[in-house]
Amino acid sequence: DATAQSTGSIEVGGAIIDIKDDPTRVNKYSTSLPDDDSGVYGKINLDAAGESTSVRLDGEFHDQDSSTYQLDINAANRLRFRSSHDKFNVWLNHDRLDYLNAGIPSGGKAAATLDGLIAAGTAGYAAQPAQNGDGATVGKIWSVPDFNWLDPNNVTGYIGQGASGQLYAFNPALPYYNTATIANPPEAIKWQQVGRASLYGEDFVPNRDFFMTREEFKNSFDIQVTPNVTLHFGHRLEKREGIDQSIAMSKCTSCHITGQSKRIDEETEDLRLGATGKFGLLTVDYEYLNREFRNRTSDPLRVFDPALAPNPRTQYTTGNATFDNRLLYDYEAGAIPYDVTPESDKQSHVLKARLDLSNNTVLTGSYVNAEVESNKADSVGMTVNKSQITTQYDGYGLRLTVRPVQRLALNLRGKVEEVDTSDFSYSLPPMGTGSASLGGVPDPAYYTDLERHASNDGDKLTLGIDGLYRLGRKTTLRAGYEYEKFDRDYEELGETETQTVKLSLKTRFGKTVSARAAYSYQEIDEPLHNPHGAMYVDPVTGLPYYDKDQQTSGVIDGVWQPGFLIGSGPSYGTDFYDLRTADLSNLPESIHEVKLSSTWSPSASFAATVALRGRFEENDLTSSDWQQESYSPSVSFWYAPTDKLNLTFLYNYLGQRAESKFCQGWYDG
Amino acid sequence: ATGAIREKQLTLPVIDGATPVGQQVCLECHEGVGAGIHAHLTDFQTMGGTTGCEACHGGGSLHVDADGDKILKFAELRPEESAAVCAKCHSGGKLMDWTHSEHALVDVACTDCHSVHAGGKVALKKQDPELCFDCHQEQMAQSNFPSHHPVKEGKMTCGDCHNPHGDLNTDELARDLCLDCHARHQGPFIFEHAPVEEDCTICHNPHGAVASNLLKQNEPFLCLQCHESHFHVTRLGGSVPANNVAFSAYNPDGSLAGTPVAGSGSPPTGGDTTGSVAQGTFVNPADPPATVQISNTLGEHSWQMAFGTRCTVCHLAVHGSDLPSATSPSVNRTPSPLGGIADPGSGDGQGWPSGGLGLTR
Repeated sequence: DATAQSTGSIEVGGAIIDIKDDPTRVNKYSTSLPDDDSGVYGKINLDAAGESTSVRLDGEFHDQDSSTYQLDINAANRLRFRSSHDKFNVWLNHDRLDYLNAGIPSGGKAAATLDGLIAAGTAGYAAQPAQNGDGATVGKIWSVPDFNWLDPNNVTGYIGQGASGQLYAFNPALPYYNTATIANPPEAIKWQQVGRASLYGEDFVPNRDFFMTREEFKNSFDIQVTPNVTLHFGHRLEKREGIDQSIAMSKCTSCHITGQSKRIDEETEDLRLGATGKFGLLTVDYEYLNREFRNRTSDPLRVFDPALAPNPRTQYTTGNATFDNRLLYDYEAGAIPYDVTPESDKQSHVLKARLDLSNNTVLTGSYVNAEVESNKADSVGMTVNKSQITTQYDGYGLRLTVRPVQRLALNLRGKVEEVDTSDFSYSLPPMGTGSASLGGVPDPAYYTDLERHASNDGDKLTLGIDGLYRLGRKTTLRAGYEYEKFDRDYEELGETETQTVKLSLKTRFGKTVSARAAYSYQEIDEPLHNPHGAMYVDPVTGLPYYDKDQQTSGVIDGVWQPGFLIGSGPSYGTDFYDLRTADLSNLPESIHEVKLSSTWSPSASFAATVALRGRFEENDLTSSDWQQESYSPSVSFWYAPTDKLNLTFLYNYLGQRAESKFCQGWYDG
Repeated sequence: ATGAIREKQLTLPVIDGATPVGQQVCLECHEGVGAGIHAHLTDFQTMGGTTGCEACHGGGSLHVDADGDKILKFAELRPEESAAVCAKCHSGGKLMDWTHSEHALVDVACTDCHSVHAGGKVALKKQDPELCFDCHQEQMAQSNFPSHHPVKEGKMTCGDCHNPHGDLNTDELARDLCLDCHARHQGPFIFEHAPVEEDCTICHNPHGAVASNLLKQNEPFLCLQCHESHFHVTRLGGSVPANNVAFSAYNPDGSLAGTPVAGSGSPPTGGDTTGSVAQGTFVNPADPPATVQISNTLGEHSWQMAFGTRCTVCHLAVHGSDLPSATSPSVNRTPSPLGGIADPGSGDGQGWPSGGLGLTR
């Protein structure tokens, strides 16, 4: 037809990236290579429009892992179809774990050997000199039937497993001998540092690059079935595939960190159905969402290290009964899953209505219902009493805009939200429950039917009022107040009340300069915090970390008084967490924020802007103080010499300082 | 008809006395102006309301004779006036909350972002994010921080998370917006991390961060604002033999002489720097024992290196897990021999933290 027109463009280019640092930090969305990168790219844009129909196609291609296509068809404004496919690559962090190697390999019997520790006549132990790669003797090595015999207080050096599956213990003659070979039979051994306490990191896949490819197919279809009613259909399929690092940790007595690889194969599928109806002054919107999140990978497995403490024959002495009977699993459980991503299903309904009235009065109401379900099952070290947890969200909102006078707009709003998660309990049967531990036989009741506290369950109320007053044709003053109360069901986390005040002034000076100044203040009563997250203070002496029921110690009135540090007293490891009193949080109790900005635009093709944001936050919780200051000035210049070319220069500085002050225990455990 | 009712009932800017003349009259002078979707609206889309140029600009009868005047010019209308005209049709979907949006409250007009006569994606003057960055320049800078969402790479736009005509692109809690893409953190989990359930922005800055993974600060400093560090940071206080304690942070060069002090009220006995120290003893912080070199292959600071870096190396399931940690260090002991903090949610006397938390598996 006469008005039909079409346009199009094709762009081809190249890009080179030179990386000097960790590419996963500074180049994580690189199209093809994790390090230095180069490649060509292409863009295409086709736009065809008639009087009643338009078709638009946009595409961008970098390589097989990075491309974007979008198709938009509009037929007589009554039928609209959008389809897009987007794909990009993300390089994921690879922690080399090479900073994890610390040990206290010698206990009280630094010179002791396993020979003296193994009961006479025990079968299966064989000792011979340990050798290094050059054949020199570097200590003593034992073939052992299992690790249960190893006393963490006395084992010197390392434990390991040979390629044949044979278990070994190694006592190095000098501290820096951290590996050894065995001559008879010769075989490669993978060593793990052990001892009284040790920390050891092993990266099993040091040369692997970790990445994820994110791919999204999205289609939406809107059809105006009558002048008043439009139906909406939407489908979205998101895939995440790749390889991620999967880290696991075992204890006791060693903290053995291992890094392996884990396949990523996740899929999120959304189906949306909705309708919009306009009936005179009333507009009604409804949308239903069904979401399925599926994890199609098999769970990574790990054989956790031997637990050296709880075994009745090898545990700590009575006075050091630190972790007795509290371990939930170790190598005896075999290969068990970790780093598991649970699947979930979500359904939501959103219903909104808007009533437009005369004099610019608008009333909107909304109701939202959402339900998320996730299946649960028993695991090694835990039993659960339900096979599914469900979280339900309900939200009711009401908003009103009125203009009592021409210069003033008032907004009133209120919202009630409820979050409720199904009741749930679990039991944690410790490995040593039935054993005659020197630390005492634990009462299984302590570990049974533990109630799961959903931290975010509760009722939230939000009330707000905002006013926009026009002081002059080019000057407006905005003022706002909001009250929010979140009453959590889990009393331990408390009830948060937030009050917010906002003020801003926006104006123009002549035709070329505009300016805005804004100030906001928030007062938060009992922000989300970690209750009893640190520090125990002896009520008798006021000294931190001294055991209140024991003879106190420390410098009291200038005189050294002996006693127990809590870390070395009998309460260590059993009651310490219960005794802590300091609350900690990185969320403020008060916030002051100022924003200033001004733009000078002497012509339609040039603008210069200066801006400053300052923010001061602090809290003063029980026994702890936290504060954070942020300053962010910026200056920018924009220049467009032609319609097809514009240049932007922006400099932004961000300075931020956070300070968290509380008494930190330097304790062993 | 709905369109006619809205034109009649709503308070719209008008040119007094002007009446419609029809779009063809407008095009006699303004040829080529109407290239976008608004130029082709039919009675079906306007629901029986006015179509053509006069649907937005008002009746043109006076304008024809007024030499370019006597017509609604959006550049001269107040933002609320131009919004009222647009809201004749655009009252549903993401436009439903416009009057309460932050943009409306800071006096932004529809025409500040949209060029109604132009075609293209929702008739924006520029594409997202360039358009948004014109005003939100700090966010533009943050999008170039080392850790950022792929906005500058063209894989995301501001509009994926923000509704410029309302608030965020969710009608639920803010975290549900993040879970649209990060569904692996949806849960609900058996073992939760409370801030994850509350609000992702407690730990993350979605606009960009210097620290990895959009964290507001690097580990461990972020974590240590809510948690005290633990385990062998210095080994001070452990009842382990003096000659094997990794005092390296406390006594880095091993030069300090020590005075282990017996417990249970015994007077100090000095000089014991080689033998074991009995259970229940402590060390006078002002006079620690000498240390010996230990076989830490990363040197005397190896404990601090390990426990002063990334908390998530061990607490890997920091977003929540359905699997318990290796230990349950303090589970609902009733009563505790030393008293302690009651756990009101558990119904008994003890239990913080509940066993199995720790998010290590």
